Amino acid sequence: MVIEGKTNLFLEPNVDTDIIIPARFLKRTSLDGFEPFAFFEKRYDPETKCEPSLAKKDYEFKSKKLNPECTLNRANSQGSTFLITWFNFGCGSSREHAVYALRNYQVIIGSSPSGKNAFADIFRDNCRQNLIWTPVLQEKDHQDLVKFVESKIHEHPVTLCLDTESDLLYDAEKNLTFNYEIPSHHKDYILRSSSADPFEIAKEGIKSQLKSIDDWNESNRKVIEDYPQSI
Amino acid sequence: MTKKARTRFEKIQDRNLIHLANNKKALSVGLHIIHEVTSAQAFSALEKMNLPVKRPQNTFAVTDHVVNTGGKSKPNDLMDEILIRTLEDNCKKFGITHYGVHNQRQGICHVVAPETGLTIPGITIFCGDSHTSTHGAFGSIAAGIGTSNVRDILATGCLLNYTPPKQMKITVNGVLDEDLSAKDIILYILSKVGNQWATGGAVFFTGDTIARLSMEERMTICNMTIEMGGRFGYMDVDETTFAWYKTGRDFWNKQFLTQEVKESWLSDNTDPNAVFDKEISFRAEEIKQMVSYGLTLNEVVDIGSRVGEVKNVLDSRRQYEVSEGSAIEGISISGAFIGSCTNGRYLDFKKAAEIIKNHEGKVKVKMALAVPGSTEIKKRCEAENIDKLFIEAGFEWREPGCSSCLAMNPDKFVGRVASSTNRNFPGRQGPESRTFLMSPESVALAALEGKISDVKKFKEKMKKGV
Repeated sequence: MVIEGKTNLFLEPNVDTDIIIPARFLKRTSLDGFEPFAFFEKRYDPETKCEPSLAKKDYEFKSKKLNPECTLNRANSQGSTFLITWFNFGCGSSREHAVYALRNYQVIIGSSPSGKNAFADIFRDNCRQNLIWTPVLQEKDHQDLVKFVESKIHEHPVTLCLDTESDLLYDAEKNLTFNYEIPSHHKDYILRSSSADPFEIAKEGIKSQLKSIDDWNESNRKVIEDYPQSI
Repeated sequence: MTKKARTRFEKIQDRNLIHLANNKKALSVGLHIIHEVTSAQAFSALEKMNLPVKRPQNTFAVTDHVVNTGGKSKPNDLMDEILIRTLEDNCKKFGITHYGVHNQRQGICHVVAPETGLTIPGITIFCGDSHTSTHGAFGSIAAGIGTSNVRDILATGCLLNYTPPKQMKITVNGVLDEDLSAKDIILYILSKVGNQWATGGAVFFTGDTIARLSMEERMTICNMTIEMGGRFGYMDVDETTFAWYKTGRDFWNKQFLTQEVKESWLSDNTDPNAVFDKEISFRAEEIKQMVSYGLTLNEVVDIGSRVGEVKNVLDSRRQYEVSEGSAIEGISISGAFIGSCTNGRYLDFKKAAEIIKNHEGKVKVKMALAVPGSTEIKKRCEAENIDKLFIEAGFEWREPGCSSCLAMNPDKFVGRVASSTNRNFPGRQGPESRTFLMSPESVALAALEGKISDVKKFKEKMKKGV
């Protein structure tokens, strides 16, 4: 499978999930509709007003002013499929809402400068669950990619491609081609089903494993029933 | 044949591990704690799949994150009301025990589960909250998960797609200064290892300093494992652990603590020759009062230091500035917060109250909140008049909940806040706030002085009766 699309950049280190989706927006009970609140404090000017609306049972922008300095607001990166981040992206809270807020992206690229992880552990697994690819580039490759994107994006959108069969990331004209790292079980999980719906894949996974789990439960009753010891 | 030496984590993991087709693994879940913020989407998926909750008896719900600490029975706004009601309805529908806002033992999930005896040694515990590692203090293996995992556990009683974490060990030996606390230990460790050291790992905290800590203090340490990137933080069990179970609790009958049970708990302790992927040791004598100054847990120093470089991207549009190079001691603050799953327990309020009792005058901040971690803790403090000390000093004595630790409620600070919580992320305690993490005693003193202050100096004066 080759994923192709425009790219966006958000190059801050240690982006915690509170930055990706501030806690006050976690009150929504659906999976959809988190996108407008992603990177809220970064994308919008402090004058922006967004409050719970009684009628909509959701948050509503009373006034909206974009922060012109935020790279996410550049015209050429709107509607992107790729998001290039730096390192330790998604640290902190385990909130999967951070991934719901990024569901418009199919690929989030990270980097692993010496001794650092590209992504926080729980965040990366939440991405897998939502079928978002999290390829990690070596530091030098990441720098080259960032330089390349930055040199073009002011003039026109930059298109990237992710070849999930051969684990290659390249730009549409193939000026640059990089290998990337992704855990094999992430790759297997996302590629396993032809369905592109995370729900269908989860359902299939749960239903196919319930039988084996029931068998295990049967022969391990003690492990389960030891707890809780009802009074 | 001699058995391979294993960590406590590995022993508990191995007996709960289910091998599935295609080399997949699942981990059987002993206790699944759910709360109002990260469970709604999981229940919706379950209904869409037309599946029941597999192990309702092993599932326990608490309302904590959005609680109105100014009056629990009234939700803060419509969105909160929907969240609270959705959890109530789901628990009724699926037969799950729920400690809602009106329950006599309501509180923060990581405070309530140990308090009610749901948390016991030797089991696996998961919850859609990254501070779930707290329960590892009791010798269980516990970690935070995303909502998709919550859905999977509801449907199967297991964590699916489980991959065993790396085994890591942090040892602290030596005598800790009596004026310090567990929070200083964990902040000190963070100041040395940074916010990524344990990414993806299970961290075993050990050493004689750790062994001398009370259960409450042990919880403070395990709680912040996620701040170094670790998913699981845990400790061996000992007499201190047993003592916790000598009391009857909602879900624990003290008669259960037989010699046989104790021995089985002990047999899970880490084997002396267990192998770790990564380990590091510290001396308790090196530890001083610790304070965070930056926007990540990489930026933690002792009280005698100066503000270092803040490596994260600062946002000049918001009030985040503290000038580099200025002394930590003396940084003025305008808010103070004592509470959270890290430091919202009885001992935390008792120790902070000692500072308040010995300090003349009232708080010199715009807002000071004391938010007990549970109704039980609140009542105990009130029975000992600890609440009065706080109130007389100018603190607001609130009802239990997560409150300003993540500020998804009206408990928001503006400006610099001394806080007993776990994260100093930009805007975490309110969009215009900047958090300085420290122990509850340090927060109490900072509130009374209006600036970050040296607890040891104050206590020495206190002892001399000056």
